[in-house]
Amino acid sequence: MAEKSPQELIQIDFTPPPRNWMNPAVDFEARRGTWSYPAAVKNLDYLGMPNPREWSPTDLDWKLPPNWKQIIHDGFEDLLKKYRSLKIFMDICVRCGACADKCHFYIGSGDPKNMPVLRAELLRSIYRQDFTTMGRIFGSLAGGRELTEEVLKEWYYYFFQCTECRRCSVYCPYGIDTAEVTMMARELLNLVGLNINWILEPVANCQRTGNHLGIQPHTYKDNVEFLCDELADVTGIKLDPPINRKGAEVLFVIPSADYFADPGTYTFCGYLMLFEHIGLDYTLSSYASDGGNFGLFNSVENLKRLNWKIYQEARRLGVKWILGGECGHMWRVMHQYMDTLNGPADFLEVPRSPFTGTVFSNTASTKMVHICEFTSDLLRHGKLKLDKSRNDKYRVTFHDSCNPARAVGLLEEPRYVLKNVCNHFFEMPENTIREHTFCCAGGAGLGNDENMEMRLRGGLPRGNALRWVRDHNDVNLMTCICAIDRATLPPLANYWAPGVEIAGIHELVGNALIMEGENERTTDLRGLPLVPEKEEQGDV
Amino acid sequence: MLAETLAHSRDTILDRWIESVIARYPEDTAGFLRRQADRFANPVGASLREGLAEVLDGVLGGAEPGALEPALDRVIRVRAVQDLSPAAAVGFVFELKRLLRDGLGDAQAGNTAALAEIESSVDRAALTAFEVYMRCREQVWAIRNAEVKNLSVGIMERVAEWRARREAGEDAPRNQ
Amino acid sequence: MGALISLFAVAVLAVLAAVGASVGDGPRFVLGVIVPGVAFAVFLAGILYRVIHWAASPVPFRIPTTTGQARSLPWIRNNELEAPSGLLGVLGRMALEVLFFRSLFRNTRIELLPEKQKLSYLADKTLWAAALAFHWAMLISILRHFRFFVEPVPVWVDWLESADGFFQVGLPVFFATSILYLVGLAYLLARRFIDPKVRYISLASDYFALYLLLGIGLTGFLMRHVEKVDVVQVKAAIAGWASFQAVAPVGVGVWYFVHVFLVSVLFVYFPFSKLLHAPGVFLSPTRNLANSNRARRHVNPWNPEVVGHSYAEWEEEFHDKLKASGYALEKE
Repeated sequence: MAEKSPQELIQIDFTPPPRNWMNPAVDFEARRGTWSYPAAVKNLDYLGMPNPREWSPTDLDWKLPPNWKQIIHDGFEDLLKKYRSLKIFMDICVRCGACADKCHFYIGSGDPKNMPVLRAELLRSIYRQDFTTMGRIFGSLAGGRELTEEVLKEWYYYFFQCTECRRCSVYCPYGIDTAEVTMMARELLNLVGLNINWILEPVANCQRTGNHLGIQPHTYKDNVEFLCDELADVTGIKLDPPINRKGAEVLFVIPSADYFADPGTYTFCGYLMLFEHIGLDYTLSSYASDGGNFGLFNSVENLKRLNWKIYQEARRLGVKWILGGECGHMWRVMHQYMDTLNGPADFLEVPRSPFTGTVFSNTASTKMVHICEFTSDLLRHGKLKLDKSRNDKYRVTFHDSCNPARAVGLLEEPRYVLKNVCNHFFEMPENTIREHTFCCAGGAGLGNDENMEMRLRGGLPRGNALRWVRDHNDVNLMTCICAIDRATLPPLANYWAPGVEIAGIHELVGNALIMEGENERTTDLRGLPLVPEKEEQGDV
Repeated sequence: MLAETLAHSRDTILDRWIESVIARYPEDTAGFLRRQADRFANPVGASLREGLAEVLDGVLGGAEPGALEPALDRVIRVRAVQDLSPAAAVGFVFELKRLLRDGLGDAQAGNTAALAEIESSVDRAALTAFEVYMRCREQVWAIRNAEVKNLSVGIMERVAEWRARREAGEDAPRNQ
Repeated sequence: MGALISLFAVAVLAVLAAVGASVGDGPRFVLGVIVPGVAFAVFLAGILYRVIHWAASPVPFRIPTTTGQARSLPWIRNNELEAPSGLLGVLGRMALEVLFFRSLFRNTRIELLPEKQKLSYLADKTLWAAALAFHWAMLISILRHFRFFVEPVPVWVDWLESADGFFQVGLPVFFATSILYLVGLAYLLARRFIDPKVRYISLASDYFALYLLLGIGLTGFLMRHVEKVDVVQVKAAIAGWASFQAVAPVGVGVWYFVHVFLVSVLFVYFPFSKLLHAPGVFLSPTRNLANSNRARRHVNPWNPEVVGHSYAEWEEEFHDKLKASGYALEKE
């Protein structure tokens, strides 16, 4: 091998991409760590989805069906007939570039095809060539290009590098929503069997067991009991949350990660303590054991199938209304899709808090209330006994999860709850919160380990803002209202802002709640001392 | 004498150094990194500006080798997860030697010993950079491994233990 | 490359018109009467077709992007313009978007890097300012052109002109909007060359539209301020055209024909290009829908026919395990 000078070595690998973005070429081998593994055969089989086979993106031959071009073309045509959004978003982009530097993946990676406008152009170029007069006549001059296998590979790479966080759509003068474009592209990729396992396995699991993790009902019950046992060590009170109980007033739906993995489990304990504290007549369900819905990241059919069980279970159990836990994309589904797909929920009643009398008229049709709406209403009416000082060891900031912020408009409620349960609250910089919030970079099915490099790149903008409040305000806890956040933010914080822990809001509620008959609390819900030992600081 | 000349051209050297790193990015991205002035909208540019300034001042001020670590970490932590080869990720440190010589111009002559001293401190910084890079990469792997476990096993191991104890008829608290 | 091809294309079109106008009455008739007439018809029919084509696809889901606090509890102040709960809010939001380009104004810079602090805060709003200047100037210029189409000249056109020529500079008076139009466009074009990000994403068609609009603006400007074209003749030519008494325009110069021809090209190009953003913005589902999702049900006409895994199937599959862990079952 020829000797290389340091100068040459530096320049290797990072040459600018070809001037024209229209030439597709993704080297999957060289870019390990930035893409996700394909869906396993068993999952596609179980769901009855097209073209199940063993393959890897690093293979030269992706084993597409022989008429894949026709399939994509017909699929595209079908989607255009079904979605006005797609037609509009394909036709009206002027490439002003307002969105270009708004994507966390672009900011962190510098890969130009992560600019939202170009991500959409990957699809738009094919649309022009196949479906517009200008594209047919002028081809690449009008921004059209031929659909080739290389283009398809590029779709697989870049449409599974979008977390559907909708930040770009905030800045677009026409409201073009890359999340919608990505959803359409993934629908097309499904047709020829190009999908990722981190999405399809949860979907298959959820279809079968009722939750993404594939937890069967007996294990579900064990997990809940185990967590209640652990909680009893902290509070001295053994809770016995009802599961599948008919005739309860409220069905409580949560993302499955909350009873499966830390730190979501502490949030779960917080919910249960709250319900015990106020005496809510509720039930959990081991059938509707996941409000989260990876179908949203895959196809409208799967979205509907998985969501279907929520209303079904509410009907079977005879509850009056539904309460939903802290979860981001779950709330996009509940707020924007559930009623349309599986409603009308005319067998339920308009939610009314039995403790404050508040009627949640904003959910008059869907009949599902967000736990932050519910809790902030309780707080407003002084229904909770709290000792804020139990969270004094925490200097807290709040990460607006993408979907509650940009799809629901739930901005004040979580802040209201936080300010009521802790004494030290600090906002991150203004252009990184609320509707401007930066994604955790692990949403929309990308939060798997094989994609870690990309997640860390995309997590830089959030991590950078977090680091700022860590350094300037000594923040040591970032709260959020999303289960995917609770899974993906710990590694992000670990890398970009070490020393900051992640928690759900109701974990802090649980810490602060003064439960009737509780032991004197010496630890928080994590079993850690309420007042950290300060042995090193002996020089005070 | 040498130190004075370098201190005088410090800003120019720094600008060129930052530019030489930025210029390796794709053209459109380089433009963004250069122009976007908000530190939260442009964290990569921010890390470069602040990190490199600190490293340069350290080198010029004859800082202890270990003292440059936080500043190098600021830059390399970002580069370690970008699409860069290891050589490209840390190689920017060596670039500084050329820039220092350029910055000195005619003043190089007669200052060979002092220049060699500064250059060897750049070399030390490069070694530290390599260590920082490796540490970041190891951290990525550690995070990835921890993630595999957290995402696939969750609390299931603890539940299994708890279940075994329950079946054995124990009812003692676990947290001891 | 795309920038060059487009420049060439627009130049060729302009030359074509200039040559045509110079060779005789026949081509002048075609350029001055037939082409604008056909182009205008294509423009109207094309837009109508496109809007009907868009509207033919349903809006299956209500997917507004919320950019502020939604209406929820009575004591939480909601932001009707950013997360509208009803029609009024949507109208307000759309008005802000269409009239003031609200979303382009969102770039907020908080903490500037040390050596960049000398940059003015406004520097980040240049795209917004230029786009707004150009679009408003174009609208007002178009309205001013009603002087040529309607007889007698409507009084609002006079008002518009006196407001537009407020500064009373030059003879004929320079209109503020002429300047804003050209400066705005020049900026929009320049950033496609200067900003590497925008250069990277720009297509030939992006340059084409800009050159075309610039060409129209420049020829108009030349006619008014350099050639000082005879307004009466222009008006006679247009009035004849507008009243379908088609005669080849006489007494107007070459610039007139170039101007009218480029406008005609724009008319024809409009319904087949990204210029459709003008009607399209009104139909964008992330902006034109109320965030009242949970309050009022949105109906999807093609709601997929699938159903999920039912409770009964689920209970059957896990029956033994359910029983062993003491669940109450529907079927024992």
